[in-house]
This record gives sequence, structure tokens and C-alpha cells, in this order.
Amino acid sequence: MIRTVNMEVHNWELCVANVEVGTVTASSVFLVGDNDSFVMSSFYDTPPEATAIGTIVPLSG
Amino acid sequence: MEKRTVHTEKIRLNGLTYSAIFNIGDTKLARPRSKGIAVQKEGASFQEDHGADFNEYELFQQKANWPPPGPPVQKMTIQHRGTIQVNRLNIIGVTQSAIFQVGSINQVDSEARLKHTRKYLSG
Repeated sequence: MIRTVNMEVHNWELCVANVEVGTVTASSVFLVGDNDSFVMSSFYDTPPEATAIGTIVPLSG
Repeated sequence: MEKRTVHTEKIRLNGLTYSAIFNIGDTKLARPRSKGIAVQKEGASFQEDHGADFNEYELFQQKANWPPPGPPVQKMTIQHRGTIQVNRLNIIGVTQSAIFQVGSINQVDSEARLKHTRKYLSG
């Protein structure tokens, strides 16, 4: 039995005063408004030597 | 579905790269794809493609495990105000299959793959 989701959306005021964003990256979305479906995927891989083994010494000062 | 009109005062966007989308208005479907290899190299010898090839890395062959489709949704939207107001928006960068949208975007299906590699001089 397939159940349908019934959804009623009431949009009133949508007002952006001031927004600052660094970066929007790797299949992501910055949206001001409506949407039905987001399906997003991202793959990321760093070189083996980038892995820190043991404790990371904090920078001085 | 009714759409709203967008009123923008000031949007500052510094960078829009690698199949990224910046859209004021309405979009029905967006399917950005992006594949990248970031090479950090020692020494000042430069080849044309930096010896980077997508087939070399398994990351680009992997299957994305997309979530199973959810239940069907009957959505009814009522717009009580006809406008979207944006006064100030300040974004430094939108990159790698990313989307910056003011207004409606019905369906998004996006994928980005990035492989970082380092090449040292000494063997």
C-alpha cells in the first residue's frame, strides 16, 4: 500500500535583510525560496600523507 | 505552483566556477556534475595536464549510493505574498556543482568529486 504524503505549504513573508556566506561548494545549495527535492552527493579524497598520525602539535603563540 | 517574483537590492558574488550555477528566478531541474583533481606539486616544472587522469583514480569510478526515492508527495503551495525580498547578500565563492538560487528550484540532482594529490620532487 503506497501512502502519499499530503503537504500544504503557506508562504508568507520571505525577506533577507543581510546574509554573508563564505563559500558554497561540492554539490551544495544556497537557496532563498522554494524547493521540492534535493538529491546531492559528493566524493572527496586526500593523499595518504595528509593523514596526521599521532598528536598534532598546536602552533606556538 | 504559483511563483513569486524576486526583488533584489544588492548581491555580491565573488567567484562562480566549475559548473556552479547562480540564478535569480525559477529553475525546474538542475543536474550539475563536477570532477576535479587538485595537484599540489613541488618544484617549478609544469606539464600540460600535470599528469592527472581521471581513469587513474578509483574515486571517479565509484558508484554514488543515491538514497532510495521517498514516498510520493502531494504538495500544494499557497503564496500569500507575491515577492521574495533580498536586501543584501554577500557570497565569496560558489564552486564545484554548487547552486546559489534566489527563487524556486524544483528538483536538484548534483554530484561533485574531488581528488587531492601531492607530488614531491625527492623520490
